[in-house]
Amino acid sequence: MTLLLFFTEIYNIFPRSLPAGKFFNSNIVNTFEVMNRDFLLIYTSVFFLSFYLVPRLTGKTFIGLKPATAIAGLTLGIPWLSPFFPFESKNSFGIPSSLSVVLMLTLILFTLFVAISFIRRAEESLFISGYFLLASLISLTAATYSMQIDFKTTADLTIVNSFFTSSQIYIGSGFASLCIIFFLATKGIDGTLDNKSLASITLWGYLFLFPWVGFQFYYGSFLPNWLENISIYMSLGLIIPLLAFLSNIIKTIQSSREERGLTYKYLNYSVFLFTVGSLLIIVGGIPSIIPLVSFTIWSKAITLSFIFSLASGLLGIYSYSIPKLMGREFRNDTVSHNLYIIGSALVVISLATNGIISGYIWTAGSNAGTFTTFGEGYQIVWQATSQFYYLSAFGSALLFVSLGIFLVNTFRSVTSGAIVAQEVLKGVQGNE
Amino acid sequence: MSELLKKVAKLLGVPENLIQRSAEARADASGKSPEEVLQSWSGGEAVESVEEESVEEESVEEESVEEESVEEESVEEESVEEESVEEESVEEVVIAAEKENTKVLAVGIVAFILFSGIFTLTLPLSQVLERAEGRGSISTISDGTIIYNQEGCQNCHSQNVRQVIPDAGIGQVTSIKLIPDYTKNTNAINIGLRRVGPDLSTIGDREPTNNEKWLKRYLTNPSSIRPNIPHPKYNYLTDGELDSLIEYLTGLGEVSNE
Repeated sequence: MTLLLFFTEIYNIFPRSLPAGKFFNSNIVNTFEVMNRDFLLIYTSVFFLSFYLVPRLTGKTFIGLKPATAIAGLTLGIPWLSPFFPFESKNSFGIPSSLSVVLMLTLILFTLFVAISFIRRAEESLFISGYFLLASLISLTAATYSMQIDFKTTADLTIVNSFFTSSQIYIGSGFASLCIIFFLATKGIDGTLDNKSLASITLWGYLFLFPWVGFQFYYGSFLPNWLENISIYMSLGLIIPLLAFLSNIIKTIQSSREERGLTYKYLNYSVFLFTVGSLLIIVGGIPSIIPLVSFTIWSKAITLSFIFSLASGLLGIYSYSIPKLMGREFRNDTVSHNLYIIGSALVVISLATNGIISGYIWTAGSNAGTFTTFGEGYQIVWQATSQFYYLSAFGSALLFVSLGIFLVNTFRSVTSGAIVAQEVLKGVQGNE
Repeated sequence: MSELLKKVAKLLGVPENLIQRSAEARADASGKSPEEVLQSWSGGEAVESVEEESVEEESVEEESVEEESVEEESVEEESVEEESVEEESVEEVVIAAEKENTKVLAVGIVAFILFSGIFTLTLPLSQVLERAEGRGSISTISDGTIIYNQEGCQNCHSQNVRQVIPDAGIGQVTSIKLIPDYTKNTNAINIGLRRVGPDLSTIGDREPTNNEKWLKRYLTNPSSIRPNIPHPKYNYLTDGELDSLIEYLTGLGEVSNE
């Protein structure tokens, strides 16, 4: 995904210099990026989390492991079948309606397996991570419903896309991040959950507010006025679950008595990026900011904040679980971690700044009355924002290098790391 | 230990002395230290048991409602009974305090998302459909519409003049229109959702973008007009495809926007 992100950023800067043709154009680059980011990465993450966490959260093995694995494999393959349906109408994600139906059914089945595993658990209490995992899966299923809607008016695109962004990225990906964060903060680094009520406020607060906030990106367009107004208030209201989350997780992480290793660092950074994503939504909902950032690349900065938060959490969970699963010590790889921080921060900051500056420049161009005539408007915008595209491309290159190093480090740890005790799921029924 | 004890007691809403005895009893049974047991309870996760209790645990779970009342009774009788019996019943109190209903949680999440879906998806879609009816429709889908879509122009350009200051100079605010089924969503997708380059709603009414020769030169070799703009070259399109695309672009304007 980082390679594709890097490629997209490069394409934004040098589209004229790259070889172009009918099979390589803006649409192909964009489709691959969206497919990898919005589908492959998120689905793979939630499936991995389900298979890995369910036995650890429930005290029982995953119910229906084999069929669930088959369903997960099928789900990951479905979005790539789109080219075989050339005569069917596609949505804005390039997926035909019939495939969206299959995608929804497979996700419903998989979610049912996870829900049944949770309900028939051996433990008395479901770990807080389980709440977020379940909500993430249900929300991803809801997102597939929105993909089946055929557009009847020119306004439908904004409404459907807003719902999809909220359910697939903010709740789907964001809650997968929170699932990892709460798991690592307690189990991973041996912290004590500070307050379960605050965790519940985080869950229900975000679940209630997130579906509304996507409309802020299409402010002033075809949307009904009541929807735009509610979207602004809901965006600002995100401060409540965000504060509940932060106060809870900071105290939980502080209660850790373990050595501050790689898992701890990736966990902290995942919390930071999730916070940044929420803050960008809140800032974007301020009435004086909203006309500037709507329809700009600001929305991509928010999406990538949540995606990078998920990725950081995944890296944390890998560094935590590999010694337990493989019986080998994971090397403390600070280079890869530092590059990940610098790279992702550069991408998010540059895209967010780019969004707000381009909004200001469009306004200035509009006031000057030379907006699109002779292309001056775009030239002015490009001069003001191009350096941020370069920064973003540089950041994505660092991310790619960082994950390359992480991959090599993982391979070396698994093959030649010091031998440590493997995890034995003694209490897990069906595993003994 | 005492701090952890306080935290767990607060978390579960059970007196500290009960928690402590319960933790000790669980620790004996599981072969762990009381601190580890408290630690696991504080995170909402039970300690790994050495003994195989699958059948028992399942039946305990299924009869959770009954258990709670029995457990409460056992607490009342606590002072009368022997020490070992006390410990078992106290432990059950903790279990009852932790007990959660996952079915309610799952149903609650589904209900929340359905509720949100009605107000953020179904209702707005029906409202915009009502507004669009009687305002005409995009009745045709030309080759240019499809080429615009296939080349991904909508990834950087919008066709949507909004009621906000940044759009004041572009032209008339875009109105909602109906889209016939046979256009396969293409017309709707071409509206675009992001504005990296300028909005194209009214370029058919502007100089020089309404000039076909200028537009052809710009699309095939943008650097000949604006050296610093990173607009992609479309010199790989055939003359016929370019003409269709230009016809579509020059058709965008105030007239088509009404």
